[in-house]
Amino acid sequence: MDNKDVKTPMGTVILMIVLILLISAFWMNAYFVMLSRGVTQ
Amino acid sequence: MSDHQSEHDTQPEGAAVDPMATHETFHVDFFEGAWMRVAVAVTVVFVIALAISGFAIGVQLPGAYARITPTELADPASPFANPGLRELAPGKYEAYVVAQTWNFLPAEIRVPQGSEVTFYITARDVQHGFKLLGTNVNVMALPGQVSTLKAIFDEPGTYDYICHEYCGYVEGSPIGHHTMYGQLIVEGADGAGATAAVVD
Repeated sequence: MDNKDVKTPMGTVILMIVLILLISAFWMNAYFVMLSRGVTQ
Repeated sequence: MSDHQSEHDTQPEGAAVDPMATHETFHVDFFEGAWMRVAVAVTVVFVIALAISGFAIGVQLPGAYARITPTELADPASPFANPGLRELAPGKYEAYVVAQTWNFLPAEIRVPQGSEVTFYITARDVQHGFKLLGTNVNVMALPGQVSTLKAIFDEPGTYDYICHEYCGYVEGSPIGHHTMYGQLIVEGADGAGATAAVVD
């Protein structure tokens, strides 16, 4: 397959990077809030 | 050559087949491969974080402790006949809580700062919830089941517990699911705590 004419979809790449940073940030925030609320057993 | 041999079988008999000879068939685009790696890495990080919180730090989910017939909650032999706090030892308590439309019994629990409280929660009528705001105590209260969860309260303050499973209301009545709540008051060494509201 000849890829010479395929251009890098930079807009999509940037959106995906922003998306994964947001997911990671929200998840880590929820995770550390959960840990800060103490242990339940 | 027999009629059943394919056209690929043209190499000398006994020669090893190179599996990489067809690798072009499995070509993965650079960006596709990059995102596959990112997805795997994120999943691995999440699993490690959950394992740390569960096994190293000790965060556990509420469990089903026992079965109990709702009609027997008032049985004098049942600990739920007199719901409330029991002191097992200094700093160690059991709290028996009954959820019913539309209040909790007891509606108020007071413990000293640093107490370890094991909650035993059930419902008398329909499905309820027990969410202690500002903490990880979050249990479903089901008729017929006793759910349990243990927590330590190091910070003095007033922690509201609310029903977070919709349990209905009566048309025109000021009470209902939305007014079903109680308070756990963690008293500091100086007696403070009742005025320090913990909000979520």
